[in-house]
Amino acid sequence: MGIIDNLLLGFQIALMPVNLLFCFVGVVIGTLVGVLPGIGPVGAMALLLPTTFGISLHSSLIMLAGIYYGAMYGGSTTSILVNIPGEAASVITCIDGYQMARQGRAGPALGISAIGSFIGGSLSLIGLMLIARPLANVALEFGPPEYFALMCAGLIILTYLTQGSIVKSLMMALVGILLGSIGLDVVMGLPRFTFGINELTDGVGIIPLVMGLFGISEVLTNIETEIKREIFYTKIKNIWPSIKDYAQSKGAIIRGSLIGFFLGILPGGGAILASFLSYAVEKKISREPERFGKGAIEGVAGPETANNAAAGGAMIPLLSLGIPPNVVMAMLFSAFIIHGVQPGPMLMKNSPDVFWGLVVSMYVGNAMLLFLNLPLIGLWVQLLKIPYRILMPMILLFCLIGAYSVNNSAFDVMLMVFFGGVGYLMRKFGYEATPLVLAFVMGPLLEQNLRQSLLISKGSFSIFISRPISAVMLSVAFLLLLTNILPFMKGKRRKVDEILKEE
Amino acid sequence: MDLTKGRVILTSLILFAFFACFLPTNHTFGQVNYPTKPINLLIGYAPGGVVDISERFMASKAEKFLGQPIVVTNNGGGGSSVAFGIVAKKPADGYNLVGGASTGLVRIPQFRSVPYTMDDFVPIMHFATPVLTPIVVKSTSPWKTFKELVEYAKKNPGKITYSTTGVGSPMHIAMEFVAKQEGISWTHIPYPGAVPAFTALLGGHVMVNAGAGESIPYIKDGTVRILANLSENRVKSWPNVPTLRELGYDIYNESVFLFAAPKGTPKPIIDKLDNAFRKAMDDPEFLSVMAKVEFEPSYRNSEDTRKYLEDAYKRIGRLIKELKIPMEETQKK
Repeated sequence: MGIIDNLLLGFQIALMPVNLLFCFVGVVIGTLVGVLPGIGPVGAMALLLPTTFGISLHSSLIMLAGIYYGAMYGGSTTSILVNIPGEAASVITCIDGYQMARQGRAGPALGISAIGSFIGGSLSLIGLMLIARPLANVALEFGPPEYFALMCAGLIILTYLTQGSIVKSLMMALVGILLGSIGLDVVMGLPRFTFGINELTDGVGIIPLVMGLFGISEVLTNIETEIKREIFYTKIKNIWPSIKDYAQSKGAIIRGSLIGFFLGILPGGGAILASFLSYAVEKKISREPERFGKGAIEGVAGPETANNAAAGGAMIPLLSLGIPPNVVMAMLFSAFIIHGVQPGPMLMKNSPDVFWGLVVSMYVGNAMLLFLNLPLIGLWVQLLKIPYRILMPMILLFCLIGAYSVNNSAFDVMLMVFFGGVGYLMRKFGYEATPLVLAFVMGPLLEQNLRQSLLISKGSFSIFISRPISAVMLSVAFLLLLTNILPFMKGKRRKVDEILKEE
Repeated sequence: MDLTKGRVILTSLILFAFFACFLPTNHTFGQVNYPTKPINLLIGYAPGGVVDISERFMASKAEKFLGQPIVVTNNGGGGSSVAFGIVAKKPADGYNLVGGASTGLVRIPQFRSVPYTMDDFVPIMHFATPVLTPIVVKSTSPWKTFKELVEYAKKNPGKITYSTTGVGSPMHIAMEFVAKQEGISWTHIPYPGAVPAFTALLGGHVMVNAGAGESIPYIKDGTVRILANLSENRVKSWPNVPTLRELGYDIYNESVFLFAAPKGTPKPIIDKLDNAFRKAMDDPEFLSVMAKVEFEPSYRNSEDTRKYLEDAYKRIGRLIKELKIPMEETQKK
């Protein structure tokens, strides 16, 4: 009863011509900044926020939210086509998406990520409508010990991400943790590893890091290997995913929606973590894990669904608690404040028009994005026909603009170029960048929550097992670790047995 | 022939236009000729935050009185210290201003090595202070007043946990100041920002939260209870909330939101800017903007702001030493 009235109210607001227009503008801008490597939703929203002072609260929220989830749609495009993530949450899509493109299956990869994004986005909106408040309260239960346990479980993901040497990927994870510890130490309030550079006080930005390691280094690599690229566009097979593709991705999309939605609620790098976790889950439960890294469509469908579902989940703490869980949500929060409306527990009661208008507009926007993105696939695939000598300088340019736009900081640009050089050398010596990025995101959270937990418990480690949520998660992490190590040990033993037999 | 003549004229015009670009445009013939070009304002906080919203508003109104646009950019790095560091090195000609909060001048330089000191700046004016710097507990907790909280801490040393935005934050210093005066101990849990610090209270992971403006709607709806306020004086809109000073602790948060220019900016220019920004406070919209961002109007002119900041600087320096708050090695002299 109530919900239908509310939905009708929401549709009244979302379908007003002016709001439809702003929704469309938002998702178009979002798709664009998602597609353009380097320029992410944060930069775009920061630029546009001051311009929303003059328009109504409904319109400005609808547009800003559109930019956010629109960017999650667009982010996969360059990951798949040129192996450069459009934004940080699409890093993992590079692995199998790019391989699909190399096999001439860029179309199905793009298609399944658009469809997965739509499903993930819609499911998370249903979750947002029905169970926002209880879920928000569960999220509050997550204190430092629970986060620590979650991060422990998450770090196990690392072992699934590796394509090559496990030792090398662990080394990269350590480098990521070290890079993550640059900046202010939360517990002491003092800078670490900043070498007296004031700009490093806030740590290394995720955009300069990711765009350097993936974008700039890809451009550098392409300087030497231009000729090989011919294979790409000579054998583009089909534009749309086949029945088999759908069948293979079905489970991944559903699991990705759930993972994205629940991780999105939690503060921190929700969308990024969700995409990594979804990939790891798909690889773990797949009957043919060896296909991953060689163009498995589940490896595209899962993460791309998850990062869109996370966009819906991230709205929950903002709308139902008045607590923005990440930088993007903080900008939406500002839009509320500018217009004198307080998001939080009273929002649904005091301003139902705002809440339901926004939620319904996200449905509308997701539908718009699907219809916008499916026809664009043909166009994007044509992009591969652009000679690399023209495409790559453009990508370089967008990376430079993107790194600068986040904080108007020339230092970030230099940092990105530096990581570009590092990333290039890493490729040359066979070190993967994905474990580094994952550890970079999780390392600081792990450390901060461990130290906070121990401050709360006065140094006793029992806090991690006396609290039910953290105890369960730590047990899961431990079991996962065991299931990973046991086959490895067995394999070793078999080898030893074989050697002994031969002797 | 005509064509050639036309070309000669055209070429001369282009040449003239080209060299005209190099004509000096920013001569400062006393105060009468300032400003003759757009003024740059670098805000030390991210776009869309409360400091940014209020300072952009001030700039948009002040430019009418100055007759030149104020071009606003943001750099939210290092808790505003990156922006102060950039503007400190800019020419002191009145065209390079920085917008931020007092913390960037009096607090951050005392903890970390930053590429500027307070003396590198001339304050222009300050226009606001936070309405509340609240110390809150959950409504379900047994403590009704700040005194009860202190009494509980006396009986249960170290048991009370409180969250702030970090070591050396005004809230951390104030809580430790109270602890020292009362001879009690409580446990500080630092968080990277006011939002997570307050969320920890809502989730019941800490017992007290100090200093989060985000708590205001929750105070209003009764989820959390405010025990004391860290502001200098009792706030008009919250007449029943005592300040820590009234409760017998000689401590308050000096936070004001201000504009500053590099040291050496001529006095007439500073006065003109001070005047323009002060007039912006008379704008009918000013009060409603302040209400939205939960700020209270508060004005001091350039000279008074300088004295106020110098006092605060000394006071904080003394507190850091007394309370043994950790600071970066290079800062220990």
